[in-house]
Amino acid sequence: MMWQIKVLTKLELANMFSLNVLRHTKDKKARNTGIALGITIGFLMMLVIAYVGGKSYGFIKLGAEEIVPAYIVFMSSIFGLIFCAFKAGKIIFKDNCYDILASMPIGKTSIVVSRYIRLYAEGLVVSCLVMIPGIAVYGAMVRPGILAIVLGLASVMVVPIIPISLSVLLGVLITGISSRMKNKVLFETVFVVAIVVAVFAISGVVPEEDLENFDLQALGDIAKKLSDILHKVYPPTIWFGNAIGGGSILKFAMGTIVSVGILFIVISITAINFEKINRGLRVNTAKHNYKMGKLENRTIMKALVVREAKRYFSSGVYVTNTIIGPVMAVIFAVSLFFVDMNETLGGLPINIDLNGIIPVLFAGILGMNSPIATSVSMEGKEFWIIRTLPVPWKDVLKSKLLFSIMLLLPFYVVGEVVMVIALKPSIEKLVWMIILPATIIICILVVGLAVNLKFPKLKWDSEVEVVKQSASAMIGGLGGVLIALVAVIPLALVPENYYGLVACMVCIIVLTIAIITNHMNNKIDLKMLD
Amino acid sequence: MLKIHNLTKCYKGSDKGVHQLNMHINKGDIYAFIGHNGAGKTTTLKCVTGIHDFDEGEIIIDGINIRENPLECKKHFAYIPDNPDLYEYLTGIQYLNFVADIFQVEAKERRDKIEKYADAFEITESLGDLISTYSHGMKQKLAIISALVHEPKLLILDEPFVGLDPKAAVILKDMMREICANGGAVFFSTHVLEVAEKLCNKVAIIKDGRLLSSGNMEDIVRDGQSLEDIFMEAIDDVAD
Repeated sequence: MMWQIKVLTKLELANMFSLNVLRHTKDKKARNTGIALGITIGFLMMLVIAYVGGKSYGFIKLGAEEIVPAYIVFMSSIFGLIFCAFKAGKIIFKDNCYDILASMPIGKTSIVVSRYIRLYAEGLVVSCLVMIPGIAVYGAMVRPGILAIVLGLASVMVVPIIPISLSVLLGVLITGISSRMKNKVLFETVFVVAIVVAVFAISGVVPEEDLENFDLQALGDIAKKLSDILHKVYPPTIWFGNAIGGGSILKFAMGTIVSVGILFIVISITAINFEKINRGLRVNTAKHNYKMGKLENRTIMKALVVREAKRYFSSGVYVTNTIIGPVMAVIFAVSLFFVDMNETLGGLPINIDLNGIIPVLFAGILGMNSPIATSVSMEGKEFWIIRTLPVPWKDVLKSKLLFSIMLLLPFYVVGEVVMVIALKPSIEKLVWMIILPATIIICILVVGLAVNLKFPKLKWDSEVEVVKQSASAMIGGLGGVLIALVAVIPLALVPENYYGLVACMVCIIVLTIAIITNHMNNKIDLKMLD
Repeated sequence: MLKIHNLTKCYKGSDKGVHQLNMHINKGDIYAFIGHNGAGKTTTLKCVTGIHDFDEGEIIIDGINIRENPLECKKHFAYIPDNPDLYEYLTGIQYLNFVADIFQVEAKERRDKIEKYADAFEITESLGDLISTYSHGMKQKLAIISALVHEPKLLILDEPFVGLDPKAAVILKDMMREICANGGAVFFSTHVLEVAEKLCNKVAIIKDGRLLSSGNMEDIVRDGQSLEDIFMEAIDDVAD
């Protein structure tokens, strides 16, 4: 079995992050896209390194160095979970080579293990990025001793196991249940949205006094309180934290044994159900009972928009990855009933009227990971149809925009109603509360489309490559947040009397960007998209 | 119907492509385009259909230049690629309706045509199923129906007989003849030389992106030779 795992793992790792394709391609455009993707990933890595390193430095400077080891373990686990959670199932049960592998004398455990190792390799990269800067800062400033540093570096390799195992278990659960259901996409979407809502609900259960009683003057209390919270939420943080902070071999061994135990259980569960779930996924329910009835004409635009909608709702990974933003936006709006933002962030050095910028933050979250940022790439090998049909390219793009607006509209309306009830704005603020998010969202969608046209990925084997790993998914997905953040700055800093004027200027600038970008999108020659 | 004048298409970093290609397809022609793998057949068809841009030359379809007025050109032809990658998330009837909507085919007319061709290919009962459940041959049949639903003047096909069952192949050949009898033209690439010889009135042989021979089938295939003999001779001559 070992040689099977070795061969399959080599295959899995060869094209991690599309490295093998980039290595061998002669296509300059593909290489440039790969470089852009690399730069984006590099930029994100720098952000993570700076964030974790900076936070660790901050904790130590504030005298709360005890919390740093547990904190970096916790952050590594959270990043690992976010990175793997909604793609583990797609990687484990990817369908593009199942038939070939199933016909070969290869054990299902070998396939599962090789795919798990691929996920682990990705998780390890995340773990290194998060933990090593933290350990470096901690080691340099606190000097916990050689043993602690060695255990810290060893923890880097062990810490990703639990989050990845949980992601795989979640993937098995979702894929396993949905493989038995007729409407797989609907189930997957409801399940994922339920998990997101549950995570937010659970985070609200953390005893408020633990957080509210933070007295920045009493720094000694912080470490203990945070430590208590982390222990309640995720105990391995404390085990590995004690290994790094106190050089405790026992705690390290404890964490490792539990991690490996969970790993074996998850791999066993996955291997046992691997064939059954794969068979379920490949069941084609063809009825063969169609009878010709009356057919109806539609306008070209309606036909294109309906096609976009059917494309979108046909893919579980597409829906689940892009619906999180709108769901979180509504949760954000609802949270305004329970959290007074002005009071929560009242300690900021400058006076900011948060009610004035909340609509923009709402728009940023609503536009996060919008489906339009990958909608051209999702055309994939079927793109020849659009290319040979007598449809103006700008109509195809317009249909993508229209569908995205229609998709976000219910979330926008619900969020707006909730925000208005929660914040009770003045008439002037009410007007901007409606107009600002609408214009920002339109700009986010148009820019997202432009990003996808700049970095199209039409050759892919799995939708995961497009929705989660492509340059346009990363740049387009985060672009919305950046646009919103840039729009927030002038609105946050302006005196109350000039709010309307600045809001109006923001709308004009944002709409101008949208119009110019849309014009440039329409000018792109679709023959150049490869 | 289709004029290809000095068509040159080069791929960056590769010597593949087509060079100075000239072809003339008239109304009523069933034109076979033959050559070995990688000879440039698909590249030519993709340039003609506007999928690929080209470096030099001119392509005129029914008097309209594909570069200058691609949308108007596309209203006059239908294309079926070698691998019918259709929208798998649609049912067969939804896909046909989508294509008919794009070409603005009237409801009554589209129903009649879909019924006629789907019955002929015996896939009517499967039209309500998702395309993802179709076999390769069924997808090929659906692609053919979608091409015929808007009555194109020029039908362009890339390896149309691959994956079709014998009965469907016969029906497709009849449909090709029908299009030509109604004043249209058919231009297709194939490796099945027997079919090309029996079905087509014109043929072109391409090798390494250059046209070796083209013209009337009866002028090219003569003296008791078959198209296969001519093809082998032509490509061997070049190799020598």
